[in-house]
Amino acid sequence: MTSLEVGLTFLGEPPYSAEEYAELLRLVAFPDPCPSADLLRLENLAAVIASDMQAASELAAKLEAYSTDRAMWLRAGLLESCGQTAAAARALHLLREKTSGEERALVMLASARNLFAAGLPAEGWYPLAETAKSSLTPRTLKNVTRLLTQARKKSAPPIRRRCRFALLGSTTQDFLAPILRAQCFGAGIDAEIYIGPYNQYAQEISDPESGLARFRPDVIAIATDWRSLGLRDEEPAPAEIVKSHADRLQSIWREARERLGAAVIQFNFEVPASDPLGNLSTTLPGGRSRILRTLNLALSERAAQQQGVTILDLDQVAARFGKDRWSDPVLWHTAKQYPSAEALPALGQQLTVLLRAILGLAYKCVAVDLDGVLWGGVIGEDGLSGIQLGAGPAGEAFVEFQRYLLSLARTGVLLAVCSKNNPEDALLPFREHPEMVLRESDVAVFMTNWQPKEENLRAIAATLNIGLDAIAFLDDNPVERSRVRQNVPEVEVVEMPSDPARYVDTVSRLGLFETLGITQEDRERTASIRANVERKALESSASGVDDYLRQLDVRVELTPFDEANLPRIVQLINKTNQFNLTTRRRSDAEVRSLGAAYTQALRTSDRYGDSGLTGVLIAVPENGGLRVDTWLMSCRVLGRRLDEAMFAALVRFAATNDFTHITGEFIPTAKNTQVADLYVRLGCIPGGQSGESRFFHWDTRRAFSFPDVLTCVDRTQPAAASV
Amino acid sequence: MCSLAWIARNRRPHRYKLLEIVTLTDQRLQRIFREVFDDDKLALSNSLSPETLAEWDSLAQVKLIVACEEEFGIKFSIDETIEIASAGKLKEVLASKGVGR
Repeated sequence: MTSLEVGLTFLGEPPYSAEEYAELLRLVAFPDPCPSADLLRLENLAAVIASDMQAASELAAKLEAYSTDRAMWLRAGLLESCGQTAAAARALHLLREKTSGEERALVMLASARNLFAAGLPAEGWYPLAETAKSSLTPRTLKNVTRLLTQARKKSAPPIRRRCRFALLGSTTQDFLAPILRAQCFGAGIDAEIYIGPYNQYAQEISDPESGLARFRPDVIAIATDWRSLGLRDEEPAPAEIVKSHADRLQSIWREARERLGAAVIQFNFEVPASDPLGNLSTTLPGGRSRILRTLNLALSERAAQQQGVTILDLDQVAARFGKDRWSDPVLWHTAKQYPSAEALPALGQQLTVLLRAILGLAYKCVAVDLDGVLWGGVIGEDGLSGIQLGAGPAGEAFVEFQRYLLSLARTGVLLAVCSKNNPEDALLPFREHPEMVLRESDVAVFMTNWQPKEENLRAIAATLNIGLDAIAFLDDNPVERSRVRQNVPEVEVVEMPSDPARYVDTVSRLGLFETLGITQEDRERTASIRANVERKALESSASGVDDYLRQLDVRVELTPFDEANLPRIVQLINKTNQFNLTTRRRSDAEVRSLGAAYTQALRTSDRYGDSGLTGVLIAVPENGGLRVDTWLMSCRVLGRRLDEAMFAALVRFAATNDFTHITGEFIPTAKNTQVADLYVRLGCIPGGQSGESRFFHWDTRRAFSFPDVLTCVDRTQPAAASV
Repeated sequence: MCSLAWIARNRRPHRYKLLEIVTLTDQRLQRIFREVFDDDKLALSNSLSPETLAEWDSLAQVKLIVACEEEFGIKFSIDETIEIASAGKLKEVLASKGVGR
């Protein structure tokens, strides 16, 4: 029980006498931390006090002299209740960056509410999104959605992606939807959510006239629960029952993919804690626990074979939340609600994580501070032998966190160092400390200097050629975090706990780096980015582009699509933004069924290493010519005249296969302006417009030569030839 | 918590109120109703019920129950969730669980 709770209980309820107001002032002048329950207490108290406006404004005036969290919050509540929303918003502004967790959520929510009410919608979106990110409370998240719905009538929220998201399943979805919508908003996703009729997911997916079909979902979540399987405590034919359920769900996925072209998120099954057979249920061949575990494995195996289907590990989410609280039997029996209301934010968070991965919004880079994050102490002052790393409880926690970061780096997340240190001090542990897990070669870019961190984060984004919104920033210093939040709000700033033992849990819980699969390119990304940094050094010393390319010894190989390179091609199609002429996102099945006349995958290497598969071009037959449906290149290989090599191969193929012309297409987006004039630069003739598409024309009687500064192997022609 | 509330009540002579002033519990309940029915002007009264409030359907009923459980840190039984058929009845059931007494 907090001192505030005790104090308020003794004080009783308003109306208060003069002495009681004095006592209330003494209570809130106390500089104790103010947990979320106390914030809610004071918020309600403010509303009741404000039933006497005079008393409320007098108290608010007195509170202005106090700078404790409690006093500032109570004052804001009083001002809001008296309708002085602009003043309330100003009072909350000071409190915003002082708090974390649920407290931060409540302060941010109040800030957003007052800003919207005061007619300042543009300023309200940031605190509203921060509320959604900070809170795991159903009520706070539902209030985010309410406010979002009200405010967007007057102003457009900042969003990164729109998504039509269908929630189908064997349980009630009405409670999850508003919570999920808030969490999506926090992740920059404007989710329009469709709730299917209760327990009719199979019919909805197969019926071409269903509400789901009319909704045209981008993503479908199939929220099945273990009860809907109707398993007995002990099944006589366990293998058959597992197979029949796996077959049934797999055929539903296929239909969803083929009929609706939607990505599918399939929930696996919670292994419920209450089982009449207890531990025996896991050893008996037909035990329910055992069947559910086997079924979960079977679903994972089948999902791995099917493009566009992702498993949400519900059993893991339930276990992490705590299975005793995960289910609420009263809610289940009265409303077919599963899981419990309090567990919905944890579930929604995982759905949001997967949705972010599906939409290509996962974070690409983790930028870490050094002192206090990778090791304890200060390297510049304590020296190599003075920092805490390995040997001893605190030192081991740092080693474990480094291992976690190394695992991330091995799956393709770029590791950047962003630290206020002398460069030589910062590198010392990487080079010489025996307990150091991360080595220099694991870090894609070092920014160690005394510049403000927001500038270094911008430099990291520029060096890695990624957006600021693809960076997550880890720093143990709340002042630095607050500074970065204010100056580069696009960067995701993780609220690090004060104890390094909790670092791994805190970061992994957020699922910032979750991806749907890992390709070879992902695993080698750090090395290739480091090579890029060296290339830049060469570029600045070379005299002109061609001299640079010759010195770089660029080799190009162009091949048609095949089974081996298709996963990487699909990955590029779904995440490339900048050098992407049409930005058409397509699944594996959609690429296969496109009816392409010509496909081209580009691989390139140079003296610093192999960049792998980094370019894709697809052309479809149209009116005796070829239309370039898709053309994209990874931003890591731009500026090497590779676009000319790709185009040369296309022209050669078209000419030798009797296509009279090539139609280039450009669809502008917020991110692809750099290729707006690509076709004109190549010598194509602008030729018309349709909707957002602009078209360009190339007559195949004209040849187009490969750049002579590159070594090209073109295997895309029917008779493979080299130039 | 209950004993603390009892001490607080008996610490000073009971103050008679001339006008009906909203209590803290009423304030908290009113906020719940406003959030569940998405109406920031809704005024709490004991007579609110599925008959007087068109939006009070079975889904809203469960939303009210869940919101009260979250707000007051209590749990309702199945019987109680069926019993609660008006705001007044809700307050009675809450009172029986020590809320607002």
